[in-house]
Amino acid sequence: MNAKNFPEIVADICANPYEQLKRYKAAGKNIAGYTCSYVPEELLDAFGYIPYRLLGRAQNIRQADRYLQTYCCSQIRSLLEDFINDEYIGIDAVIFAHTCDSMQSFHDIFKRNNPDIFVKNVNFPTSINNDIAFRYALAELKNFAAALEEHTGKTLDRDALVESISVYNLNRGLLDKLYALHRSYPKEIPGVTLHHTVVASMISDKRDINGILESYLGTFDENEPEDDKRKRLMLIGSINISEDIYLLADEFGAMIADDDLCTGRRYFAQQVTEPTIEGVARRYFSRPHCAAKHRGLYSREHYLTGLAGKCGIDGAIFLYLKFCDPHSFDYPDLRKGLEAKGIPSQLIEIEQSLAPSGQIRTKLQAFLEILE
Amino acid sequence: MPKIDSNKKLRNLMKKYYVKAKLGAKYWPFTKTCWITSGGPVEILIAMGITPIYPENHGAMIGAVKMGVELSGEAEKLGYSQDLCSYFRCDVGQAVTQKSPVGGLPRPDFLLCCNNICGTVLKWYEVQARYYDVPLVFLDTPYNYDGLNDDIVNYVKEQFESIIPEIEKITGRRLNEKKTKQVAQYANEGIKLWNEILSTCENVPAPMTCFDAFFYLAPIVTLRGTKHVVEYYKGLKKELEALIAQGKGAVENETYRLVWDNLPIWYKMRRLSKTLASYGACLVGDTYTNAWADNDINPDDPFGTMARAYASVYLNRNVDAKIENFTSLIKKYKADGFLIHSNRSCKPYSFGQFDIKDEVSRRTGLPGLIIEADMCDTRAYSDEQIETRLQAFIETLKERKEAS
Ligand code: SF4
Ligand code: SF4
Repeated sequence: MNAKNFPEIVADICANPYEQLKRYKAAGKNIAGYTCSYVPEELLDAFGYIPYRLLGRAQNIRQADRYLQTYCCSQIRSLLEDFINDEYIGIDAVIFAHTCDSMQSFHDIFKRNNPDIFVKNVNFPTSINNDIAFRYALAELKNFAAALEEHTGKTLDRDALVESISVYNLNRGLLDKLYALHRSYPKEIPGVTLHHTVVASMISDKRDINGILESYLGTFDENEPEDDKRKRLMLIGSINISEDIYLLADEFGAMIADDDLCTGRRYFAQQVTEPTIEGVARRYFSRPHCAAKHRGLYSREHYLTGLAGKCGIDGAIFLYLKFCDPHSFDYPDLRKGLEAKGIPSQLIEIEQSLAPSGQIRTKLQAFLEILE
Repeated sequence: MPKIDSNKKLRNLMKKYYVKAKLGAKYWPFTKTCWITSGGPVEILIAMGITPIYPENHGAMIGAVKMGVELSGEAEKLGYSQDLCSYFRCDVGQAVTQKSPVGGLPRPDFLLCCNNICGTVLKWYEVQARYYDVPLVFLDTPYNYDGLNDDIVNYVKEQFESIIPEIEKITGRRLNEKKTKQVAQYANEGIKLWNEILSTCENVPAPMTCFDAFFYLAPIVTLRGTKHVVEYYKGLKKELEALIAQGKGAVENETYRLVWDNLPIWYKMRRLSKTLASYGACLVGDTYTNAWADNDINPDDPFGTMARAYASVYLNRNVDAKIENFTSLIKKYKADGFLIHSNRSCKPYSFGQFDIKDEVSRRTGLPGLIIEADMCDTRAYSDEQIETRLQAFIETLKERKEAS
């Protein structure tokens, strides 16, 4: 592998997620699928699993309709379809974390219908802003560790956890640096590489990604940014597995300068500052949070306006998955909050199960014209 | 259903409640008003003399008078998606227009949200707390994925201990122990009576249908912990028992007994009840009204027992537990089949229903029918389609009856 080819390598991993799974399986690894960034991957890693983010990909949803109504988000429905289509054969465990109503029910449905897979939910609190909730979160992470001990017959090794945490922290730091360098070198590091790198990190052993990502980043000189006057956009939403928005932004001479997505910065933001289970729990209480969690009435607005200011954002795109309740509840007030800081925004509704439509192109183009 | 006094009494009780709440909030400076979710610990508010307001109950009224689409439209204009819970959309609509059967809700001094029924209420209350610029008190009750455990109970109990000073600070009121005990006693009594009232439908023929129960539910939700509720339900129970003694059923020639799942379809109550009655079908039990029939608070340890009770309400239990519950209701009420309302608004209540239907059918040997609708938004409902399906379902029940 050559660092120069890094963008192609991660693009390839993203394009063939099931192949990645098969490769690890063939190498004799245990894979733990996980549905959400509130699943403490470091713990899974310390138990010898490769955490593998489950992102629904099926475009043609038919069989999942036997289990779930069509007014459930397509992220969940696609994922279920993938399982029914046997795309995930070889997965040893599926780990959920408490977030939204739909995921909550999906856990129950999935568990009932997959008695042969080890299914476990990390019952993370909804409040993430007080000590009582922190104590509960910690108890719950310990319960999770105990469940893994029982299931694997291993005991949690402290050194292994320390090592896992450092590998994850390294990955987080590198992803953060990648985002920063993209802002300096938007031509050389295309936006879509951000997306590919995050998603590839989610479905790889971090040790495999970290080295090559580090070398790739090393080829850029932080002190000589490109002189580029592109419009800077920020994406806000839940899950996005499509490249369209990144490619279109490039095509129109703009750039995705940062994001607040499950499949973006929310995944890697903040380090674990203490190499223990407490440290892992603590990170969730300080990192930018998902709309399904509660940290007060204005936490997301303040965070997003702050991020926009820091990155010099010209406009925000709300990239919303249809039927994703937590995020669509936040939309009108966030839009107002951004507007008050002089940041216009555009809502684009996406459906994971539908082939990309011309809609994104038209809306993005029109929005960029407004920004001019 | 034969005319009974309790219907009028309920109208008066609820009217008095809304008028008092609205006038108090507007003209009486010492009034403290709190909006609370239907699964929230209203006992605390009652004990502190704070007026509880239930936007969900209000949403049901809006749905029943068919104002759902109009008020939802107001929320949609503001950018709220049509896919969000229609109670929420109606609530936003009434807040900005002050339109509703009672002319809008009184302004809250604070909001009390408990997420034991759904995650939606938290997002909803965040929106309203910003809109009214008032504090939001949040009681986080983790879903019982693997049943209830001590960590959940402790977490909720500790929050009870911390939200009370929070509410005291907001309102300047104190919670006193004696009053709490008394409220807990009334709450238990009310819940017990409500359970007995629902259980009158075990009788064949049933003296009321679920359509009536949906209506009679309001006091136990909104005024639980007060003497009025206890008195009202005592009267209602007496009247229902009298009907049983006279052998009077709510549906003439009751032939098919059905159990219902999920919220009512508020804007179709009359029509659906007529349609079903025309087939001799009676809704004898449902999972929704039963959700308020089994809390038990120990007046000597109110917060410990409330933590347990509030953390394990029906909607906070997993699909396996819902299957158990539904199955036992069907057996209790000697049903011939069941109807499941797949409610676009209520994802946590509705997702899992396909599994529930199959498994409940397997366990009871009874047929079930899933109806796609929404509790307040008429746009998600088609008379023709649903009535055709109901007719076919009744046909199945008939064939089964004839065969046995
Ligand atoms: S948060 Fe949104 S996208 Fe994620 S599972 Fe829930 S509804 Fe779907
Ligand atoms: S209808 Fe369902 S989603 Fe809406 S508030 Fe009630 S429980 Fe929550």
